[in-house]
Amino acid sequence: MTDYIFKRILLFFPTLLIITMITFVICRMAPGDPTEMRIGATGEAMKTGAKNQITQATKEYYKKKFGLDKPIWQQYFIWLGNIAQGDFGNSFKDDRPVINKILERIPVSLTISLLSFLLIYSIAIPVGIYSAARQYSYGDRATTVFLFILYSLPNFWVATLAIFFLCSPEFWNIFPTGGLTSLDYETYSFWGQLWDRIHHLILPVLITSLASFAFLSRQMRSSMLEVIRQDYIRTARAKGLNEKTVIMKHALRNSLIPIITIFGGLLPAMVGGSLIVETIFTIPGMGQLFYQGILDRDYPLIMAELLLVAVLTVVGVLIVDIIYSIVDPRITFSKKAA
Amino acid sequence: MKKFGLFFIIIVSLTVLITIAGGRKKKPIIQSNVTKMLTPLQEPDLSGATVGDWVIKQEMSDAEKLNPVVTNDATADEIISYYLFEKLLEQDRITYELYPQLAKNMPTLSEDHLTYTFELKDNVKFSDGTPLTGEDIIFTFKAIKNPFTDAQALRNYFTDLDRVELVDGDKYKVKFTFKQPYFRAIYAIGDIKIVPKKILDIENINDRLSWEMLNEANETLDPAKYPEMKKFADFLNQEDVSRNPKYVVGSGPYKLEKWVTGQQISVVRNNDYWNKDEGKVYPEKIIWRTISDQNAAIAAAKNKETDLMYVIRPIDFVENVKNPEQFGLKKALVLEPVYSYIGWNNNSPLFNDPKVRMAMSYAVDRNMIIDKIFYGMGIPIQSHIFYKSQYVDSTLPVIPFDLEKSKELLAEAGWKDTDGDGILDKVINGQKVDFKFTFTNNNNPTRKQTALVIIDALKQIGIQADIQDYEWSVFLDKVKKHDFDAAIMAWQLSVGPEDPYQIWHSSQADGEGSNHISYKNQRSDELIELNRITFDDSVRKEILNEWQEIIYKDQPYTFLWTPTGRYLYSDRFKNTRWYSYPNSPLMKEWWSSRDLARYK
Repeated sequence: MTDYIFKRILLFFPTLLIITMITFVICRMAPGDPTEMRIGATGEAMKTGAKNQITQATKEYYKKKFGLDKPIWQQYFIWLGNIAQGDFGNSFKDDRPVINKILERIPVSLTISLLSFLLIYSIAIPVGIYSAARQYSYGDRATTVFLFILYSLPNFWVATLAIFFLCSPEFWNIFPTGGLTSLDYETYSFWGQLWDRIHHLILPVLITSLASFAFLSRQMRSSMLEVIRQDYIRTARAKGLNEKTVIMKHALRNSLIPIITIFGGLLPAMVGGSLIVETIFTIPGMGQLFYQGILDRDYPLIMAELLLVAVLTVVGVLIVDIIYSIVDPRITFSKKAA
Repeated sequence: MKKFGLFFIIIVSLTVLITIAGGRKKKPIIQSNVTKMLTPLQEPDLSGATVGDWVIKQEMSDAEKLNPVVTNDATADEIISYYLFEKLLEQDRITYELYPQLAKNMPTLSEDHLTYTFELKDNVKFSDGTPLTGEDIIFTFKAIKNPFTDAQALRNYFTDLDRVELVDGDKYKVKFTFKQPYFRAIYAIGDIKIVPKKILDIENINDRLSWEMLNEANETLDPAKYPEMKKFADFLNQEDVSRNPKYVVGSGPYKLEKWVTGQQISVVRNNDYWNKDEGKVYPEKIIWRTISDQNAAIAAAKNKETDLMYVIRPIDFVENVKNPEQFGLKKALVLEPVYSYIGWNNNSPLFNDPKVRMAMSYAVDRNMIIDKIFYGMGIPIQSHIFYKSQYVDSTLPVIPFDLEKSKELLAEAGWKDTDGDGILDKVINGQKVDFKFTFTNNNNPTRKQTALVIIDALKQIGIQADIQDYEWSVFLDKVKKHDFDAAIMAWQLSVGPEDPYQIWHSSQADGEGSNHISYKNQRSDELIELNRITFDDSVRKEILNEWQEIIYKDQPYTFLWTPTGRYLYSDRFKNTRWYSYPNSPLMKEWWSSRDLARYK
């Protein structure tokens, strides 16, 4: 096992190298000019006169400063060298170290994702089990229909409606319209602050979770159904065990395997954040940062985020493989003597 | 940031489009007589004014840097310019004339127009208590002139600045010397926000940097030769210097309190403000709160979570906030120095003839578009100069919507439908060319609607036009590289005398200059150059008038309209004055009576 993990970790490096090489080139080949975006023509109206007389010299200055005057392969190796020393570079947009911008936002995205995963798992798995155990019952059908409706509602639409109906004095004014805390947050007591944070998180967490409920519970349902049809379940039932023990003790463990596979993809998603929810609720999270980075052609930021996601994906896959062998002893990664 | 909520915008704009394209005669909600709709500028209302209540303004995006030397973004510029820092001269929000702020009087200008001598007020203090002197002014300009600082945007204005020095060692008298005369130099100097030397130059590095060294360094750009210059620049470029209240210290009426990235920036009233008696300011705190989604922003305003917002979409302003009083809100409409235009690529064989461009201008139904797409909130214009400026040539008539006239002009220019396929054609360089072109758009829904209306009118006179959307940075790239036929764009203007050089001079037409449409006219160039070295205002008026007439005749742009700024604000405030100025409202003037105050 340790051998296997060690080998896998060694494999990380060539994998990441190839990923970064490809993304680096794609990034540079996309149209749009970071120096232009830096100079400030980011709005709908370009400026004239006293405020923004942009000369060619300005562009040249930034090109040189950003190292864009060198050929792409050189830029890549410079970037790689810096990464090896732990330097992710400074944002083209505001010269802040990219690492600071990311570290500032990870806790936000992580909080929302973690809460939302807790919510999804704690609802979707029981619902999936219930549906499988009572296949084709009215309860199964009702939850199926309901979850599919949830699944097909687009995030931005639900979020916009939620703001319209739940955050406005015209209808119900139950939740704040956005942000992470109230403006006078600091004046609150400890419990007041805690509640304020929760209050601000309810809608974003709920809306982030909506579509995943259906997905995950359907996954759970089908994998459970598959397991239930196995011989050993029939044996268990034939032995006269009650249905609850059969499902919860014998079937559940095996039916979790596909769910674990899904879990592997969660790691990058957790820090990746959600652009739409973050934008609508003004949550300074990773999704927003990444999207804005792309619009600004902020290469160091884009590369840092992509690297982060790549690393997490690779790590996620490894973790999944390890959990597999724990959940299902039949799966093993070390060579056995025949 | 405006591209967020894109889907919703598209849905809304599609609905609007269908209504327009369907040709249903829907009565416009507001008539195009925009001058009647504009919010008048009230007299100051200070009776019973009390200090206290906070103002919270919604912003689309967070600021980037709050150090005025290195900043270059709009949100930061507002906070820096009107609340945290001060300048030698300020521009009057109504007359657009310069008046002294940190300076005692207007500077004296030498006869050769090369030196400006300022006398400073001797009672000015930074918010930490240190007096502001000529040393700070010299330091600020040295920091800008230092080629290794991120002050590149500002440095452009001072390529001709030779030196700034004290006169006879007097700490309250500074002299600026330029290498060449330029009429806007005084605006450029006057506009610089002064930062404290004591806080930003702890090691006194700048005392050792002479102006000769700075000028030389600007030519060689070699950091190895000037290690101290580079060291100081590295310090100034740091993140902390632009964000930490310890470093963001100005002489303005407010102090930076807190900056929560992506959420809010708050400033508090400086109780030891040096200019307390004259520059009265009322809110105890002003907060810029980021809400990037327009629907959420409007809900927040209705919810009393914010007190002031700029409404981006005309439809939201009219339809989404029908009864503002229900939420304790008011609406304000002001003309701000911005205008939209269609740029015709003068290099294109289709548009290199002024007659054709004039014909296109006749095919644009400005009034209808303003009524239908902007709900009447815009004013048709004819010139590059801001509508409210004293330099605008108001005798230029608005070109009416007249397709017959348009056809006539096209025929005069040689465009006829010779093959009977319904599309005009002409033989250019021995080849028959059809009149077909594409509008390049930057995903902006109102501009797209505008283009579609124009395309429809052009079809009636035998011209086939299409539209193609691009993401903003790609759009910008295409425009800068002159890779387009026509595009609807906008310019933000400066108030006061305009220098058209950047946009209209033929030297800016090649490469990536701002003369994107490659307009070239010798007389126009001469006038633009003359304007730059003219210091007499009445002469300038004549020059700019003649120049505007040339542009009018040539129609390199079809000038469209100046849209109105659309604001929503809380009705509890008094003295809310609406200026035709960039960043129209000045929140530090606002106050509310004790009983109405929300924050006490």
